Amino acid sequence: MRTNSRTALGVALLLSLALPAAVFAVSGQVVYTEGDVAWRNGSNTHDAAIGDSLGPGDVIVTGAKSLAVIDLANGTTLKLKEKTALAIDSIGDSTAVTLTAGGVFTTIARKLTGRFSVATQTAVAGVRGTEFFMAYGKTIDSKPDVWLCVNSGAVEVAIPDTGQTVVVKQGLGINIVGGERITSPKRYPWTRKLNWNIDPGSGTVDDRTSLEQAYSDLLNQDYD
Amino acid sequence: MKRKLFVIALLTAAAVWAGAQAHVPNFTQGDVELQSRAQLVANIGSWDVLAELLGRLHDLDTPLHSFESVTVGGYYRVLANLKVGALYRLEAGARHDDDVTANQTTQQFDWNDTSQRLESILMLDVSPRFQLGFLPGANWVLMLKGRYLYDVWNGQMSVMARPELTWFWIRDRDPFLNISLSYEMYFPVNFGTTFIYQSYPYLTVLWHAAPELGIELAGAYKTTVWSTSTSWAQAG
Repeated sequence: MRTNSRTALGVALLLSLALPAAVFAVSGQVVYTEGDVAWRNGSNTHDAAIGDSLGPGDVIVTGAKSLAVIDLANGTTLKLKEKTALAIDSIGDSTAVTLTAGGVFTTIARKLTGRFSVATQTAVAGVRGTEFFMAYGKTIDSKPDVWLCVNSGAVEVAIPDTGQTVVVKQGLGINIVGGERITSPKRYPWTRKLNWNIDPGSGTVDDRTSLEQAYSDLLNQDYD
Repeated sequence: MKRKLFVIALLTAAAVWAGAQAHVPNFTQGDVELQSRAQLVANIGSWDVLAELLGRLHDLDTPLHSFESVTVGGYYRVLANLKVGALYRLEAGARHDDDVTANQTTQQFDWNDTSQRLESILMLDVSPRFQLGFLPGANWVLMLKGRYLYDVWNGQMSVMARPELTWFWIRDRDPFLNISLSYEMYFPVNFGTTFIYQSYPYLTVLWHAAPELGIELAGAYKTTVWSTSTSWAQAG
């Protein structure tokens, strides 16, 4: 009986070790964290650790002065800024994530498998290229702005509710004003300071760019 | 110490005012002026580098009198609400007291033609500004500009003070137009016979054509108190 119990325990342990890999055959993985990072599925919240597997339904949350780098199975790497919440909607032929707070850098490390998109409350950014940044800005009149800029390649931004679609090319950025209207792509000085590095081995991956800079400071205007 | 400084300041102001009262100004002139201005501003951290072209028409009756200037310089943002600046201006068409010439025949005065005369002006500028978010429209800024001017051509020094209320029309989170209502006053330091020799309300509309480029139109009703010119004094 004792032997059987030991055997049963061993099988259970083996199963528990094998289970995540089996369940998340196509999954994401936490590859780097700084500060407070957690992921939750339903009502269960876990402190994130390097190597944790993530799948559809998981939401990754970073605290203040924190960041996380997530590898998705389709060849996409995501770097979450501080105070960010990102939900994984699907991974596979069509990989989709939803940004509900903060900002995320997206890098296609190798040829993209299938389709990939980042959604916010109102807009969807579909990837055509390799590197872009998407983040919530200020909430004005109860409507949050969403900023997006492309470091390389191109990103198609769409607002499904209105049908507006804009392709943002390398070096340019847009603002989704109040989440309702996409501005014409243009160069924004604040994007020059973004830290696109996602590899801790190549230097710091932390990005301290504040979206405050995306907004005109009326006290800094010169008019004679 | 503070009381002593206050008394000195009071006495100085009284002396200046008394001096001003002792000299009856020769005449006061009101002009409508129209002005256009283009500015290029590059923002580098806390520094702003500025270049400006300005053209102005005075006396909308004939003959038209024009003024043009080129200004270069920079501002440094000391605090969120305070910028200081140093600027150089090359100008043509400025008029001074001694540009009034007595016409013995008509017993009237004429103005010298100064349209080709170049003058260099050195300026030091301080401009505290405050956002007045409580006003309707929210995007209001009150600026209290103070500027010291030294005219290298004739050695005249003056101080300018200008309260300016500006409303910004924000489009796509960037300024598109700003509309300002200002009142500008010039205090002579080492010339003239009045406390304020020039003052005027003016209205400006600045279009932000690009983040670095602004184009402005302005209108003013300028009042100038001209002091006696040498020519006029000699003519009796």
